[in-house]
Amino acid sequence: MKNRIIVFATSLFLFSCSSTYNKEDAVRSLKVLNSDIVNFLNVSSELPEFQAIKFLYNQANSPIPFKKSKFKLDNSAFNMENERGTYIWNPELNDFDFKKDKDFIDVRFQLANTENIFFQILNYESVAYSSKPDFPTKIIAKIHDGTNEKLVINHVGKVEDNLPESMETTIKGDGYDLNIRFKRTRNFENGTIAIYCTINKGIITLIDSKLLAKINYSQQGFYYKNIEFESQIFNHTIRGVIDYEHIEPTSTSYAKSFNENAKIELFESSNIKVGDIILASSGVNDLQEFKIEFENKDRVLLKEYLPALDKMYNLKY
Amino acid sequence: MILIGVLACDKTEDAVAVEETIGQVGTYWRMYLDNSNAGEVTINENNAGDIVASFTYDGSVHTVEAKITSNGIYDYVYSNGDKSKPFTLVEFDANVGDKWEYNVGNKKVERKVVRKSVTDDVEYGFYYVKTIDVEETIPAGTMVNGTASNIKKILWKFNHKFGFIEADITTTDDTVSKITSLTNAGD
Repeated sequence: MKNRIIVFATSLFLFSCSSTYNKEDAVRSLKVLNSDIVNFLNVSSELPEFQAIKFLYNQANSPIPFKKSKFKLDNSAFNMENERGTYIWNPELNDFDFKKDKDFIDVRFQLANTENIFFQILNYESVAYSSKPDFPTKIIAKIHDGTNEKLVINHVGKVEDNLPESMETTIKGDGYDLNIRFKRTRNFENGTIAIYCTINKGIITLIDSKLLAKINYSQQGFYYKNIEFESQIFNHTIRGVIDYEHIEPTSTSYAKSFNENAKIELFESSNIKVGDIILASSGVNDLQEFKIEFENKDRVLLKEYLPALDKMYNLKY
Repeated sequence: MILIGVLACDKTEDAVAVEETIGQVGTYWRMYLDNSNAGEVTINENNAGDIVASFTYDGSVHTVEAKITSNGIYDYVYSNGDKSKPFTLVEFDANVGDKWEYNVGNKKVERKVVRKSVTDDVEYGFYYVKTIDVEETIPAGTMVNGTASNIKKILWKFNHKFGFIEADITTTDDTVSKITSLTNAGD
Protein backbone atom coordinates (compact mmCIF):
# COMPACT_ATOMS: atom_id res chain seq x y z
CA MET A 1 0.00 0.00 0.00
CA LYS A 2 2.81 2.34 0.97
CA ASN A 3 4.58 1.65 -2.33
CA ARG A 4 1.41 2.42 -4.26
CA ILE A 5 1.15 5.77 -2.50
CA ILE A 6 4.77 6.58 -3.35
CA VAL A 7 4.28 5.64 -7.01
CA PHE A 8 1.06 7.65 -7.17
CA ALA A 9 2.64 10.70 -5.54
CA THR A 10 5.68 10.51 -7.82
CA SER A 11 3.47 10.25 -10.91
CA LEU A 12 1.39 13.19 -9.73
CA PHE A 13 4.54 15.24 -9.21
CA LEU A 14 5.96 14.36 -12.63
CA PHE A 15 2.77 15.11 -14.53
CA SER A 16 1.89 18.30 -12.68
CA CYS A 17 5.27 20.01 -13.10
CA SER A 18 6.33 21.24 -16.53
CA SER A 19 9.48 19.80 -18.01
CA THR A 20 11.73 21.25 -20.69
CA TYR A 21 12.68 19.68 -24.00
CA ASN A 22 16.32 19.26 -24.81
CA LYS A 23 17.39 21.18 -27.90
CA GLU A 24 16.88 18.30 -30.28
CA ASP A 25 13.31 17.68 -29.15
CA ALA A 26 12.64 21.43 -28.98
CA VAL A 27 13.69 21.85 -32.62
CA ARG A 28 11.42 18.96 -33.62
CA SER A 29 8.58 20.61 -31.71
CA LEU A 30 9.14 23.94 -33.49
CA LYS A 31 9.05 22.23 -36.86
CA VAL A 32 5.73 20.66 -35.92
CA LEU A 33 4.37 24.08 -34.96
CA ASN A 34 5.59 25.61 -38.22
CA SER A 35 4.00 22.78 -40.14
CA ASP A 36 0.68 23.31 -38.31
CA ILE A 37 0.75 27.02 -39.15
CA VAL A 38 1.63 26.40 -42.81
CA ASN A 39 -1.14 23.81 -43.18
CA PHE A 40 -3.65 26.14 -41.58
CA LEU A 41 -2.68 29.03 -43.85
CA ASN A 42 -2.71 26.84 -46.96
CA VAL A 43 -6.12 25.35 -46.22
CA SER A 44 -7.57 28.75 -45.29
CA SER A 45 -6.24 30.49 -48.38
CA GLU A 46 -7.81 27.89 -50.63
CA LEU A 47 -11.29 28.36 -49.22
CA PRO A 48 -13.46 30.10 -51.85
CA GLU A 49 -14.63 32.72 -49.37
CA PHE A 50 -11.08 33.85 -48.62
CA GLN A 51 -10.16 33.83 -52.27
CA ALA A 52 -13.19 36.06 -52.80
CA ILE A 53 -12.03 38.49 -50.12
CA LYS A 54 -8.54 38.51 -51.59
CA PHE A 55 -9.96 39.25 -55.02
CA LEU A 56 -11.98 42.19 -53.72
CA TYR A 57 -9.06 43.48 -51.66
CA ASN A 58 -6.96 43.67 -54.81
CA GLN A 59 -9.48 45.54 -56.99
CA ALA A 60 -9.19 49.32 -57.15
CA ASN A 61 -12.95 49.90 -57.39
CA SER A 62 -14.37 47.22 -55.15
CA PRO A 63 -16.95 48.67 -52.73
CA ILE A 64 -15.42 47.38 -49.51
CA PRO A 65 -14.15 49.31 -46.51
CA PHE A 66 -10.81 47.53 -46.28
CA LYS A 67 -8.65 47.36 -49.37
CA LYS A 68 -5.09 47.97 -50.47
CA SER A 69 -3.97 51.37 -49.31
CA LYS A 70 -2.73 52.26 -52.81
CA PHE A 71 -6.35 52.07 -53.92
CA LYS A 72 -7.56 54.47 -51.27
CA LEU A 73 -7.75 57.98 -52.65
CA ASP A 74 -7.80 59.58 -49.21
CA ASN A 75 -8.38 58.79 -45.57
CA SER A 76 -12.10 59.49 -45.59
CA ALA A 77 -14.48 56.97 -44.07
CA PHE A 78 -16.18 54.26 -46.11
CA ASN A 79 -19.64 55.58 -47.00
CA MET A 80 -22.23 52.82 -47.29
CA GLU A 81 -24.83 55.23 -48.66
CA ASN A 82 -22.66 56.12 -51.64
CA GLU A 83 -21.67 52.55 -52.36
CA ARG A 84 -25.09 50.83 -52.32
CA GLY A 85 -26.09 48.96 -55.44
CA THR A 86 -25.18 46.02 -57.62
CA TYR A 87 -21.66 45.45 -58.85
CA ILE A 88 -21.11 42.83 -61.54
CA TRP A 89 -17.55 41.98 -62.53
CA ASN A 90 -16.83 42.62 -66.19
CA PRO A 91 -13.66 40.71 -67.16
CA GLU A 92 -13.40 42.60 -70.47
CA LEU A 93 -13.23 45.92 -68.66
CA ASN A 94 -11.35 44.49 -65.69
CA ASP A 95 -13.76 46.43 -63.54
CA PHE A 96 -17.26 46.29 -62.15
CA ASP A 97 -20.45 47.31 -63.96
CA PHE A 98 -22.44 49.27 -61.38
CA LYS A 99 -26.13 49.91 -60.99
CA LYS A 100 -27.52 51.90 -58.07
CA ASP A 101 -30.56 49.69 -57.64
CA LYS A 102 -30.40 48.35 -54.09
CA ASP A 103 -30.20 49.57 -50.51
CA PHE A 104 -27.28 47.27 -49.77
CA ILE A 105 -24.00 46.40 -51.50
CA ASP A 106 -24.20 43.37 -53.74
CA VAL A 107 -21.01 42.33 -55.54
CA ARG A 108 -21.02 39.48 -58.04
CA PHE A 109 -18.03 37.88 -59.66
CA GLN A 110 -16.46 34.56 -60.61
CA LEU A 111 -13.31 32.91 -59.43
CA ALA A 112 -11.27 30.21 -61.10
CA ASN A 113 -12.78 27.41 -59.00
CA THR A 114 -16.16 28.93 -58.20
CA GLU A 115 -18.73 29.83 -60.79
CA ASN A 116 -20.63 32.45 -58.86
CA ILE A 117 -19.65 34.43 -55.82
CA PHE A 118 -21.95 36.94 -54.14
CA PHE A 119 -20.41 39.28 -51.60
CA GLN A 120 -22.98 41.39 -49.79
CA ILE A 121 -22.64 44.13 -47.21
CA LEU A 122 -26.08 44.47 -45.67
CA ASN A 123 -25.13 47.04 -43.08
CA TYR A 124 -22.06 49.12 -42.33
CA GLU A 125 -21.75 51.94 -39.84
CA SER A 126 -18.68 53.64 -38.48
CA VAL A 127 -17.53 56.58 -36.39
CA ALA A 128 -14.36 58.63 -36.40
CA TYR A 129 -11.93 58.19 -33.53
CA SER A 130 -8.62 59.57 -32.34
CA SER A 131 -8.16 61.65 -35.49
CA LYS A 132 -8.79 58.60 -37.69
CA PRO A 133 -11.85 58.57 -39.89
CA ASP A 134 -13.29 55.15 -39.51
CA PHE A 135 -13.92 52.62 -36.72
CA PRO A 136 -16.72 50.24 -37.75
CA THR A 137 -19.51 50.07 -35.19
CA LYS A 138 -21.73 47.70 -37.13
CA ILE A 139 -21.08 45.27 -39.98
CA ILE A 140 -23.37 42.63 -41.38
CA ALA A 141 -21.92 40.95 -44.45
CA LYS A 142 -21.95 37.61 -46.14
CA ILE A 143 -20.56 35.58 -48.98
CA HIS A 144 -22.59 32.93 -50.78
CA ASP A 145 -22.54 31.10 -54.07
CA GLY A 146 -26.20 31.66 -54.90
CA THR A 147 -27.27 28.59 -52.97
CA ASN A 148 -25.13 28.12 -49.89
CA GLU A 149 -23.77 30.66 -47.47
CA LYS A 150 -19.99 30.49 -47.34
CA LEU A 151 -19.25 33.19 -44.78
CA VAL A 152 -21.26 35.40 -42.45
CA ILE A 153 -19.71 38.38 -40.71
CA ASN A 154 -21.29 40.06 -37.71
CA HIS A 155 -19.55 42.89 -35.95
CA VAL A 156 -20.52 45.49 -33.36
CA GLY A 157 -18.24 48.07 -31.84
CA LYS A 158 -18.36 51.18 -29.72
CA VAL A 159 -16.21 54.28 -29.47
CA GLU A 160 -16.00 56.13 -26.20
CA ASP A 161 -13.64 58.86 -25.13
CA ASN A 162 -12.42 59.12 -28.74
CA LEU A 163 -11.05 55.56 -28.69
CA PRO A 164 -12.54 52.15 -29.46
CA GLU A 165 -14.12 50.92 -26.23
CA SER A 166 -15.51 47.55 -27.20
CA MET A 167 -15.84 45.21 -30.12
CA GLU A 168 -17.40 41.83 -30.81
CA THR A 169 -16.80 40.18 -34.14
CA THR A 170 -17.95 36.78 -35.30
CA ILE A 171 -17.01 35.29 -38.65
CA LYS A 172 -18.73 31.98 -39.40
CA GLY A 173 -17.87 29.71 -42.26
CA ASP A 174 -18.79 26.20 -43.18
CA GLY A 175 -17.75 24.21 -40.13
CA TYR A 176 -15.54 26.88 -38.59
CA ASP A 177 -15.79 30.18 -36.77
CA LEU A 178 -13.60 33.07 -35.67
CA ASN A 179 -14.54 35.16 -32.66
CA ILE A 180 -12.85 38.33 -31.46
CA ARG A 181 -13.77 40.38 -28.38
CA PHE A 182 -12.16 43.63 -27.27
CA LYS A 183 -12.85 45.67 -24.16
CA ARG A 184 -11.17 48.83 -22.86
CA THR A 185 -11.76 50.47 -19.49
CA ARG A 186 -10.80 53.84 -18.04
CA ASN A 187 -10.46 55.09 -14.49
CA PHE A 188 -9.02 58.61 -14.69
CA GLU A 189 -5.54 58.17 -16.20
CA ASN A 190 -5.45 54.39 -15.74
CA GLY A 191 -7.16 51.70 -17.70
CA THR A 192 -7.15 48.16 -19.02
CA ILE A 193 -7.44 46.41 -22.33
CA ALA A 194 -8.68 42.85 -22.79
CA ILE A 195 -8.61 40.99 -26.11
CA TYR A 196 -9.92 37.46 -26.69
CA CYS A 197 -9.69 35.58 -29.97
CA THR A 198 -10.71 32.03 -30.83
CA ILE A 199 -10.74 30.01 -34.04
CA ASN A 200 -12.73 26.80 -33.90
CA LYS A 201 -13.17 24.06 -36.43
CA GLY A 202 -16.26 22.17 -35.42
CA ILE A 203 -15.80 21.37 -31.75
CA ILE A 204 -12.02 21.61 -31.91
CA THR A 205 -10.32 24.81 -30.82
CA LEU A 206 -7.46 25.63 -33.17
CA ILE A 207 -6.46 28.95 -31.64
CA ASP A 208 -7.45 30.40 -28.29
CA SER A 209 -5.75 33.64 -27.32
CA LYS A 210 -6.15 36.22 -24.63
CA LEU A 211 -4.28 39.41 -23.88
CA LEU A 212 -4.72 41.55 -20.79
CA ALA A 213 -2.98 44.90 -20.52
CA LYS A 214 -2.73 47.75 -18.06
CA ILE A 215 -2.54 51.11 -19.79
CA ASN A 216 -2.13 54.79 -19.01
CA TYR A 217 -3.90 57.48 -20.95
CA SER A 218 -2.20 60.43 -22.62
CA GLN A 219 -3.08 63.23 -24.99
CA GLN A 220 -2.11 60.95 -27.86
CA GLY A 221 -4.25 58.06 -26.72
CA PHE A 222 -2.71 55.52 -24.40
CA TYR A 223 0.46 53.59 -23.75
CA TYR A 224 1.11 50.16 -22.26
CA LYS A 225 2.40 49.65 -18.76
CA ASN A 226 2.13 45.89 -18.64
CA ILE A 227 0.90 43.11 -20.95
CA GLU A 228 0.10 39.50 -20.09
CA PHE A 229 -0.87 37.10 -22.82
CA GLU A 230 -1.48 33.45 -23.43
CA SER A 231 -2.21 31.86 -26.74
CA GLN A 232 -2.94 28.24 -27.58
CA ILE A 233 -1.92 27.73 -31.21
CA PHE A 234 -2.83 24.21 -32.32
CA ASN A 235 -0.75 21.96 -30.03
CA HIS A 236 1.47 24.70 -28.63
CA THR A 237 1.00 27.47 -26.11
CA ILE A 238 2.86 30.74 -25.84
CA ARG A 239 2.73 32.65 -22.56
CA GLY A 240 4.20 36.02 -21.82
CA VAL A 241 4.45 38.95 -19.49
CA ILE A 242 5.97 42.22 -20.69
CA ASP A 243 6.59 44.99 -18.17
CA TYR A 244 6.71 47.93 -20.58
CA GLU A 245 6.87 50.43 -17.77
CA HIS A 246 10.41 49.39 -16.94
CA ILE A 247 11.76 48.74 -20.42
CA GLU A 248 14.10 51.53 -21.56
CA PRO A 249 13.53 52.15 -25.29
CA THR A 250 16.46 54.56 -25.61
CA SER A 251 18.92 52.33 -23.79
CA THR A 252 22.09 51.33 -25.62
CA SER A 253 21.45 47.89 -24.10
CA TYR A 254 17.82 47.80 -25.17
CA ALA A 255 17.71 44.03 -25.69
CA LYS A 256 18.99 43.51 -22.13
CA SER A 257 16.38 45.94 -20.82
CA PHE A 258 13.65 44.13 -22.75
CA ASN A 259 14.70 40.64 -21.63
CA GLU A 260 15.03 41.69 -17.99
CA ASN A 261 11.48 42.98 -18.04
CA ALA A 262 9.77 40.38 -20.18
CA LYS A 263 9.25 36.64 -19.94
CA ILE A 264 7.90 34.88 -23.01
CA GLU A 265 7.78 31.07 -23.05
CA LEU A 266 6.75 28.53 -25.64
CA PHE A 267 5.28 25.20 -24.61
CA GLU A 268 4.10 22.10 -26.39
CA SER A 269 0.78 20.75 -25.10
CA SER A 270 0.79 23.53 -22.48
CA ASN A 271 3.25 21.94 -20.09
CA ILE A 272 6.43 20.82 -21.90
CA LYS A 273 8.61 23.84 -22.39
CA VAL A 274 10.20 24.33 -25.80
CA GLY A 275 12.17 27.47 -24.90
CA ASP A 276 12.21 31.13 -23.98
CA ILE A 277 11.66 33.83 -26.58
CA ILE A 278 14.09 36.71 -26.15
CA LEU A 279 15.31 39.76 -28.01
CA ALA A 280 18.92 39.62 -29.16
CA SER A 281 21.26 40.98 -31.75
CA SER A 282 20.80 39.29 -35.10
CA GLY A 283 24.48 39.87 -35.83
CA VAL A 284 23.59 41.93 -38.90
CA ASN A 285 23.94 45.71 -38.81
CA ASP A 286 22.99 46.04 -35.15
CA LEU A 287 19.50 44.72 -35.92
CA GLN A 288 17.62 43.05 -33.14
CA GLU A 289 15.50 39.99 -33.67
CA PHE A 290 13.47 37.62 -31.61
CA LYS A 291 15.33 34.40 -30.84
CA ILE A 292 14.43 31.21 -29.04
CA GLU A 293 16.68 30.14 -26.21
CA PHE A 294 16.79 26.39 -25.60
CA GLU A 295 17.42 24.49 -22.40
CA ASN A 296 21.16 24.40 -23.11
CA LYS A 297 21.15 28.23 -23.57
CA ASP A 298 21.74 27.99 -27.32
CA ARG A 299 19.93 30.82 -29.11
CA VAL A 300 18.58 30.65 -32.63
CA LEU A 301 16.55 33.12 -34.66
CA LEU A 302 12.89 32.29 -34.17
CA LYS A 303 12.18 32.72 -37.87
CA GLU A 304 14.72 30.01 -38.65
CA TYR A 305 12.34 27.41 -37.23
CA LEU A 306 9.10 29.33 -37.71
CA PRO A 307 9.44 30.88 -41.19
CA ALA A 308 5.64 30.78 -41.48
CA LEU A 309 5.34 33.32 -38.64
CA ASP A 310 7.91 35.55 -40.26
CA LYS A 311 6.03 35.40 -43.56
CA MET A 312 2.78 36.31 -41.83
CA TYR A 313 4.44 39.21 -40.03
CA ASN A 314 5.96 40.58 -43.22
CA LEU A 315 2.72 40.22 -45.16
CA LYS A 316 1.49 43.33 -43.34
CA TYR A 317 4.25 45.44 -44.79
CA MET B 1 3.47 66.44 -39.44
CA ILE B 2 5.43 68.05 -36.68
CA LEU B 3 7.05 66.01 -33.96
CA ILE B 4 8.37 67.93 -31.01
CA GLY B 5 10.79 65.94 -28.93
CA VAL B 6 10.90 65.46 -25.24
CA LEU B 7 13.63 64.92 -22.71
CA ALA B 8 15.87 61.94 -23.25
CA CYS B 9 18.75 62.48 -20.87
CA ASP B 10 19.90 64.44 -17.90
CA LYS B 11 19.49 67.67 -19.84
CA THR B 12 15.77 67.03 -19.88
CA GLU B 13 15.53 66.77 -16.14
CA ASP B 14 16.95 70.24 -15.49
CA ALA B 15 14.39 72.86 -14.48
CA VAL B 16 13.09 74.62 -17.57
CA ALA B 17 12.83 78.39 -17.75
CA VAL B 18 9.92 78.45 -20.15
CA GLU B 19 10.32 82.10 -21.04
CA GLU B 20 13.81 81.34 -22.34
CA THR B 21 12.57 78.67 -24.73
CA ILE B 22 10.61 78.58 -27.96
CA GLY B 23 7.93 76.56 -26.19
CA GLN B 24 5.85 79.38 -24.79
CA VAL B 25 2.06 79.12 -25.00
CA GLY B 26 0.81 80.80 -28.15
CA THR B 27 3.91 80.05 -30.19
CA TYR B 28 2.93 78.74 -33.58
CA TRP B 29 4.51 77.47 -36.76
CA ARG B 30 2.57 78.14 -39.92
CA MET B 31 3.16 75.11 -42.12
CA TYR B 32 3.45 74.82 -45.88
CA LEU B 33 3.36 71.47 -47.63
CA ASP B 34 5.11 71.72 -50.99
CA ASN B 35 4.44 75.47 -50.83
CA SER B 36 0.71 75.11 -50.12
CA ASN B 37 -0.78 76.25 -46.82
CA ALA B 38 -0.99 73.24 -44.51
CA GLY B 39 -2.27 74.79 -41.30
CA GLU B 40 -0.59 75.65 -38.05
CA VAL B 41 1.07 73.89 -35.17
CA THR B 42 0.28 75.83 -32.01
CA ILE B 43 1.49 75.36 -28.47
CA ASN B 44 -1.56 75.34 -26.21
CA GLU B 45 -0.03 74.35 -22.89
CA ASN B 46 3.35 74.44 -21.23
CA ASN B 47 3.98 72.79 -17.89
CA ALA B 48 7.59 73.38 -16.85
CA GLY B 49 8.72 72.61 -20.36
CA ASP B 50 6.21 69.84 -21.13
CA ILE B 51 4.14 71.19 -23.96
CA VAL B 52 0.92 70.20 -25.64
CA ALA B 53 0.58 71.32 -29.25
CA SER B 54 -2.24 70.89 -31.71
CA PHE B 55 -2.30 70.85 -35.48
CA THR B 56 -4.79 70.10 -38.19
CA TYR B 57 -3.95 67.45 -40.77
CA ASP B 58 -6.18 65.82 -43.32
CA GLY B 59 -9.22 67.52 -41.85
CA SER B 60 -8.63 66.27 -38.31
CA VAL B 61 -7.14 67.96 -35.26
CA HIS B 62 -4.14 66.14 -33.82
CA THR B 63 -2.47 66.63 -30.47
CA VAL B 64 1.15 65.97 -29.69
CA GLU B 65 3.11 66.26 -26.47
CA ALA B 66 6.75 67.06 -26.11
CA LYS B 67 9.34 68.84 -24.02
CA ILE B 68 11.16 71.98 -25.08
CA THR B 69 14.14 73.22 -23.15
CA SER B 70 16.56 76.02 -23.94
CA ASN B 71 18.87 73.41 -25.46
CA GLY B 72 16.67 70.88 -27.12
CA ILE B 73 13.44 69.45 -28.35
CA TYR B 74 12.26 66.01 -27.31
CA ASP B 75 9.14 64.11 -28.24
CA TYR B 76 6.79 61.48 -26.86
CA VAL B 77 5.42 60.30 -30.20
CA TYR B 78 6.94 56.84 -30.19
CA SER B 79 6.07 56.38 -26.52
CA ASN B 80 2.45 57.40 -27.23
CA GLY B 81 2.64 60.08 -24.58
CA ASP B 82 4.58 58.24 -21.87
CA LYS B 83 6.57 61.12 -20.38
CA SER B 84 9.08 58.75 -18.80
CA LYS B 85 10.27 57.73 -22.28
CA PRO B 86 11.21 60.84 -24.28
CA PHE B 87 13.08 60.70 -27.56
CA THR B 88 15.53 63.43 -28.51
CA LEU B 89 14.63 65.23 -31.71
CA VAL B 90 17.42 67.76 -31.56
CA GLU B 91 19.92 69.23 -29.14
CA PHE B 92 21.29 72.51 -30.35
CA ASP B 93 24.77 71.86 -29.02
CA ALA B 94 24.99 68.44 -30.72
CA ASN B 95 27.64 67.73 -33.31
CA VAL B 96 27.51 66.06 -36.68
CA GLY B 97 27.47 62.31 -36.08
CA ASP B 98 25.64 62.48 -32.76
CA LYS B 99 22.68 60.15 -32.77
CA TRP B 100 19.76 59.09 -30.63
CA GLU B 101 17.86 55.81 -30.88
CA TYR B 102 14.42 54.64 -29.84
CA ASN B 103 13.41 50.98 -29.89
CA VAL B 104 9.83 50.00 -30.67
CA GLY B 105 9.59 46.21 -30.28
CA ASN B 106 12.45 44.91 -32.43
CA LYS B 107 12.54 48.05 -34.59
CA LYS B 108 15.07 50.80 -33.97
CA VAL B 109 14.30 54.38 -34.96
CA GLU B 110 17.41 56.48 -35.37
CA ARG B 111 17.90 60.24 -35.36
CA LYS B 112 21.31 61.43 -36.42
CA VAL B 113 22.83 64.87 -36.82
CA VAL B 114 23.97 64.97 -40.45
CA ARG B 115 24.78 68.65 -40.92
CA LYS B 116 25.34 71.77 -38.89
CA SER B 117 25.59 75.19 -40.48
CA VAL B 118 28.63 77.34 -39.84
CA THR B 119 27.09 80.30 -41.66
CA ASP B 120 23.52 81.51 -42.24
CA ASP B 121 22.89 79.33 -45.26
CA VAL B 122 19.29 78.13 -45.13
CA GLU B 123 16.55 80.32 -46.56
CA TYR B 124 13.91 81.22 -43.99
CA GLY B 125 11.29 83.80 -44.86
CA PHE B 126 13.08 86.92 -45.97
CA TYR B 127 16.50 85.96 -44.70
CA TYR B 128 18.89 83.11 -44.03
CA VAL B 129 19.56 81.19 -40.84
CA LYS B 130 21.85 78.50 -39.50
CA THR B 131 20.35 75.07 -39.05
CA ILE B 132 21.19 71.79 -37.41
CA ASP B 133 19.94 68.96 -39.60
CA VAL B 134 18.71 65.68 -38.13
CA GLU B 135 17.96 62.65 -40.28
CA GLU B 136 15.34 60.34 -38.81
CA THR B 137 15.21 56.78 -40.16
CA ILE B 138 12.11 54.70 -39.44
CA PRO B 139 12.34 50.95 -40.24
CA ALA B 140 9.46 49.35 -42.12
CA GLY B 141 6.80 48.10 -39.77
CA THR B 142 7.54 50.50 -36.93
CA MET B 143 4.31 51.10 -35.04
CA VAL B 144 3.37 54.71 -34.38
CA ASN B 145 0.20 55.44 -32.45
CA GLY B 146 -1.15 51.98 -33.17
CA THR B 147 -0.47 51.77 -36.88
CA ALA B 148 2.56 50.99 -38.99
CA SER B 149 4.36 54.15 -40.02
CA ASN B 150 3.99 55.09 -43.68
CA ILE B 151 7.00 57.41 -43.34
CA LYS B 152 10.46 55.94 -43.66
CA LYS B 153 12.68 58.98 -43.47
CA ILE B 154 12.51 62.59 -42.29
CA LEU B 155 15.27 65.14 -42.79
CA TRP B 156 14.62 67.81 -40.19
CA LYS B 157 16.13 71.29 -40.06
CA PHE B 158 16.08 73.17 -36.77
CA ASN B 159 17.27 76.53 -35.58
CA HIS B 160 17.81 77.36 -31.89
CA LYS B 161 15.85 80.61 -32.12
CA PHE B 162 13.00 79.57 -34.40
CA GLY B 163 12.77 75.87 -33.69
CA PHE B 164 11.41 73.89 -36.62
CA ILE B 165 12.49 75.30 -39.98
CA GLU B 166 11.61 72.64 -42.54
CA ALA B 167 11.50 68.91 -43.16
CA ASP B 168 11.75 66.58 -46.16
CA ILE B 169 9.47 63.60 -45.56
CA THR B 170 9.92 60.38 -47.49
CA THR B 171 7.02 57.93 -47.36
CA THR B 172 7.24 54.18 -47.84
CA ASP B 173 6.38 54.53 -51.53
CA ASP B 174 9.40 56.87 -51.89
CA THR B 175 7.30 60.01 -52.35
CA VAL B 176 9.13 63.02 -50.95
CA SER B 177 7.24 66.02 -49.58
CA LYS B 178 8.71 69.21 -48.21
CA ILE B 179 7.22 71.00 -45.24
CA THR B 180 8.43 74.54 -44.60
CA SER B 181 7.29 76.95 -41.93
CA LEU B 182 7.18 80.42 -40.56
CA THR B 183 6.90 81.09 -36.87
CA ASN B 184 6.31 83.76 -34.30
CA ALA B 185 8.91 82.13 -32.03
CA GLY B 186 11.63 84.56 -31.20
CA ASP B 187 9.31 87.57 -31.68
